[in-house]
Amino acid sequence: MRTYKMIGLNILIDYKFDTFYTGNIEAYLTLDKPEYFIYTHLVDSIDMPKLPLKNKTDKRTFYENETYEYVVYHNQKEEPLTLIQRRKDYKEYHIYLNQLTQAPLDGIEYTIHQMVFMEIAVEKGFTPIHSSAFTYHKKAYLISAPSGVGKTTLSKRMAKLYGSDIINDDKPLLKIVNDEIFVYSSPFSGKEAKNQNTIYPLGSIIFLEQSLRNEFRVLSNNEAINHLLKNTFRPDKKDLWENSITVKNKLIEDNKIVLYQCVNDNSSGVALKEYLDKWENKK
Amino acid sequence: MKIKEGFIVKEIAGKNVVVTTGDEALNFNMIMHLNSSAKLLFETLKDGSTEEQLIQLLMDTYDVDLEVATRDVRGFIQVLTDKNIL
Repeated sequence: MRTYKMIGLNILIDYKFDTFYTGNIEAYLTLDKPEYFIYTHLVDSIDMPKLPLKNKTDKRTFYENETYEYVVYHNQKEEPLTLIQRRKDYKEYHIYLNQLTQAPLDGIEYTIHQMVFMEIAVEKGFTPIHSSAFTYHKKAYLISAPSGVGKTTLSKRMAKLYGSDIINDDKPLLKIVNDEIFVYSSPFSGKEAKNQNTIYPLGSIIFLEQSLRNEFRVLSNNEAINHLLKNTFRPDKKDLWENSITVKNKLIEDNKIVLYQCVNDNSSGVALKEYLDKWENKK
Repeated sequence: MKIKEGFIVKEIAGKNVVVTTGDEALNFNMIMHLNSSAKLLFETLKDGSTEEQLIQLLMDTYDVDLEVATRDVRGFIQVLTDKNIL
């Protein structure tokens, strides 16, 4: 079991499958003492918490005691597949995966680790945003949109045409430091598994839509709020909302958001570069 | 009538938006904006209120007549009911 320094936190991750980690997580290795612990246990059956049911949704049941919260994921027959046991201070997670009743276990483990990591990050004041982050002139630009719209394709175009680095292809994290918004990467970087252990100042967030021509548009505040709420992690605790809103306010106040309606060919990369050059000159 | 536990109003970039906390965060996936009168009604409904009280509140605060206040309150209550917030 090894410890990784991610977003400035030393996190021990005990993963059982290296499919999504190899070549992706090594850049984060540290010899520092872990402060957070994520353990995976492969089991043949899930021992349900012997506690009163706290809440229930279609696929999940929730339990808690003084120290831990428990979430059990079920299949359609209500058979338990996975149990996540979380210490209430977020510092220790035990993930029990039923290895007989679900597949592929490597993907499931990685997805749950990502979810757990994002939970820790939000608790520490980070805002994960569903986007593909690339560098341009020493800043990070985030292309955000629902899956399938073309975030990765456009990031790849910027890499191919202009030598940009893709620093995270799924969920980079935002944090305000000294009144400036920074973009942090993590090993959790989506199916393309492109990420670097880096921190860059944010250039802007580009919300992407497919179109018949390349066009940029400044969003109204209401539109910007809708895009941000749709594409950022929504906290489930009142106090965590405050930080999330501070980041959103700053993004809107600093004009860090634009809508890009574009075609699916190389011209979209060329037009984006021209826009970023103009945008940087304006600043 | 009362707003369900877990729904709160937050101001983002000068706009009022309903967000969720706790168990409701698991189930509610919509985005709801409120203008100033809707925010007043929402905040009043957090502590519980009747339709008549809300109508009176709108008439007192915004100097609107009974017909307009009644239409607005009923419309807003319908929206909250449809979204399972009330």
